[in-house]
Amino acid sequence: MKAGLLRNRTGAFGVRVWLAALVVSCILPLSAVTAFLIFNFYQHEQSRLVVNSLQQARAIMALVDQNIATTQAVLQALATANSLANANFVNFYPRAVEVLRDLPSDSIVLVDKDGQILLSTSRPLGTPLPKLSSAPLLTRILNTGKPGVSDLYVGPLVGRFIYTVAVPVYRNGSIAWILSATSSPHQLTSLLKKQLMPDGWRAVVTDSNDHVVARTHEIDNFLGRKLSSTFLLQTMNANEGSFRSNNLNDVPVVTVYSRSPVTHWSVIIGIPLDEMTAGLRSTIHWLIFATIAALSIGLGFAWLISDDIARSILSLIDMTDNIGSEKGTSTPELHFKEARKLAKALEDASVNLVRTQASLYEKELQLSQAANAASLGMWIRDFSDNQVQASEKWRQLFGFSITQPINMDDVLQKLHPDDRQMVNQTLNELRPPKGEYDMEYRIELPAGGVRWIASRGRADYDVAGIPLRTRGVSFDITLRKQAELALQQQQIEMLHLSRVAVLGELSGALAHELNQPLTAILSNAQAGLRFLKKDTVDLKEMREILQDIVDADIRAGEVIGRLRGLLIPGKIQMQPVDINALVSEVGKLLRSDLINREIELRLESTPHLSPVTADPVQLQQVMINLIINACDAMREKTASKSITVRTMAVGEERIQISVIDQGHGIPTDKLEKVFEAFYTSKVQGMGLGLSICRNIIEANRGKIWAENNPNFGASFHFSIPTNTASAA
Amino acid sequence: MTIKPCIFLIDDQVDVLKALKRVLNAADFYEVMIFESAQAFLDSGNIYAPGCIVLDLAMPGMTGMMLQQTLVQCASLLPIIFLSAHGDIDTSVQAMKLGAVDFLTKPVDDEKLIDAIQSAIERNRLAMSNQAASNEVLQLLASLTPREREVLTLVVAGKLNKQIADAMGTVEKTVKVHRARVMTKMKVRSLAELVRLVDRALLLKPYKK
Repeated sequence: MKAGLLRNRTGAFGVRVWLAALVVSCILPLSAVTAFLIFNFYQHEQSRLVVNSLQQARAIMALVDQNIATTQAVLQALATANSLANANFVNFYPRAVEVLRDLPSDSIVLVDKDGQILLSTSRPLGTPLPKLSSAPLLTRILNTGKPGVSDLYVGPLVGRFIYTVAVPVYRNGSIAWILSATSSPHQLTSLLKKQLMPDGWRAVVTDSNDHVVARTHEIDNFLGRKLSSTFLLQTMNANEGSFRSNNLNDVPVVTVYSRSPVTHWSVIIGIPLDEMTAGLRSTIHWLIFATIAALSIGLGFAWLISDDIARSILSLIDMTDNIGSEKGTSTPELHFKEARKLAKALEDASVNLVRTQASLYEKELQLSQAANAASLGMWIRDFSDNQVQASEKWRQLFGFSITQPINMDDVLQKLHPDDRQMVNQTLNELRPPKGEYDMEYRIELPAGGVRWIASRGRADYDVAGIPLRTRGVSFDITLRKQAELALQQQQIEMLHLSRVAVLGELSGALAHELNQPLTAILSNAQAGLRFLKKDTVDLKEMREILQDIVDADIRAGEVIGRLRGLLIPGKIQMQPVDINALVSEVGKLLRSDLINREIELRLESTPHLSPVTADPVQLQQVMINLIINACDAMREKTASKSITVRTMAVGEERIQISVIDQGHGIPTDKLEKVFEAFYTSKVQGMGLGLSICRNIIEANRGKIWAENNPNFGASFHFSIPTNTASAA
Repeated sequence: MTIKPCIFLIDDQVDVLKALKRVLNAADFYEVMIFESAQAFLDSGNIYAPGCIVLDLAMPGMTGMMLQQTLVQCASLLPIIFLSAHGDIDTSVQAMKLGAVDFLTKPVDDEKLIDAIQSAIERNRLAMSNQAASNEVLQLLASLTPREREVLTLVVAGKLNKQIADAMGTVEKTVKVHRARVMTKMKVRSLAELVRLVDRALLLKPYKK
């Protein structure tokens, strides 16, 4: 059942899957859009942060520049002091110490053009001082005549990293000395610290040679260290910018830098990537959490709802199964409105069905009563188990007790042995679409004798054309059958009598026919006797005479044979018949009569006709009748009387025989009537000839009809199926 | 007329013809001709020949009766012996009226047939000689004018001259002239002789009306 909710036998998905898919398809796109928006927002925020940081870096750079510029300005003012112009170092020294108080520097140093330190505020005046080993700043100032700032270097007096701001001191229009203020980088570090940057951020000040001068954190570790070459490459092209790299602590950061155009010192701020993306990450985490939560809640609801729907539908299915059954239907607990409506409709349908079944049963009862009243036995054969369900009347007819179970073999056993195969074959060879049968057969009665049964019915088929069952009605036709047999017997007798009557009519002509060979025989015999009386007997002549006698005798025998065939009464003998041979026999039989009547018989036979299946004697009788009728029709004619008998094939399956006369013809309105019994146009006729002809032809599965010829006279035609037609 | 009399057998049954011819040959009649149909006989040009006909009554096409009628019309002198399978009285009476000499039923006994043939041949011989005589009278009669023949007819009927004149619408004298001319042309001298001559001629050949 649970599996059925997901996927039923036909492969379709269950309601649960569809609802879950609905929930998922609502929530997931929403989450995706939100994620996109959040990501976009954070990107925007990040670039704004970078811009802000750049401004900050610029500001710091300005502060550093200002710091240096202030020192330069103070030093330049000091350089113009009179004491210095007079080279009065004793006076200058306290003045310098005084000025130093206002400067962020550690000491003021005076150096001559050769790099010899002349004076330092950090030493008492008069202390011997060293000469600077290398002094790039000194060289620069001497070359340019402009003040400058040095890079970081180890001070010769203090023995630690310092930097120097220096100005030239002019005496008599040329540079005499260099006045410089040495500063500890620590004061720049404290400058950076004052900027109150977020915790993770790191800011660095570097000199023009990219040595670390100041740093917000751990300055002692990094002071004087040169920045990495990759870093330098990134900053080579512009005075400010931003890029991604690792900071000195090897933490991934977004680096923002600004370089002073005056001092070529730089301020570099490193914003940890972690810090920048932490907000984004946490937001994304929240989004994922929210999505999962929404999905869980949605799917949970979907599960509950689909459970309700599925349960309602399943209970409705159970209810549908019970429709029309004896148990009846009970409305199950249902969870939504449409299901309740459907349940109501099903209940109504069930009530209707029960009512219909009741009326159906009533009708069935009436039908079976009617069938009983009409002595109709009804039966149904089920092909699946070959069992037969039958009404009481049917059981009586076939000699089964009321309760006895019957199968098809039992039924066949009751039949007359001669009919069994035919009945079995008929019932088993029913084919769609009609599948109907109608037959008559005999049942052997236990007391002896037979009961004739007429049975008709039809088979039901499934869509593939396989028979499911056969239904039929059977009734007793013994009385009718006996009457039919009696009638048939009478008809046979009548046929025979009519044949005898025809022969009676022909008797004179037949006697004549028989006389011919007798005449030949007598004359031959008497001639023989006369020859024998002569002196010499011609043996050759005698032999010929005897042979002729024998031949004539045979001919007489043939005439008698033809007569006997027509005279002997008998049953219908269906056999293959060569129509042309039969017509020629009839011609011989009627020869003398036709001569007496001065009528010429013309045979127009189509050669090689297929044989027909018929009773030859009966066909002969019909032909004799038609030819004699044709003769009678021409009785009043005096000259050129002839009758044509024509045989021909009509298609593959029939042979047609026509008897064409030149008599008075038939009134058009009587063309049909001539075949009715007791219709006659002859004075002494009984009016049975043509009606007998029609009976015979129809018994031989043929047709007979009459028509008038275009000029004069009438034609009678009959057609008989050939062998091939009867086999089909 | 020195030709031997011949027996003409006419029957549609070949074996019957053969048997009859054989029995006649055995009885020493050798002039026998056989025909399978009446038409074949007519076509053979023997209708004025001496002899007799043995004729089957029932034949397809031209029947025996039809042949008899034709022969009478052609003034054939051949006597006819009819053979029939069964004695049809109507037919035999009619046949006899038309001058059939005999009517035998099949199968026919040889003695009866031979007797009939012999008497028929005799009869034919007589008829033929009578015909020769009557032909002479007929020639005389043919020489009369129509007026004279009218007078002759009335004279032979026994009418008086006066009555003849009334009947012909003329005078007695004119009748006498015609009557004398008839006597001369017929080469007779008395009235009785004239009557006998005319009677004989009419007996041999029925007068056509």
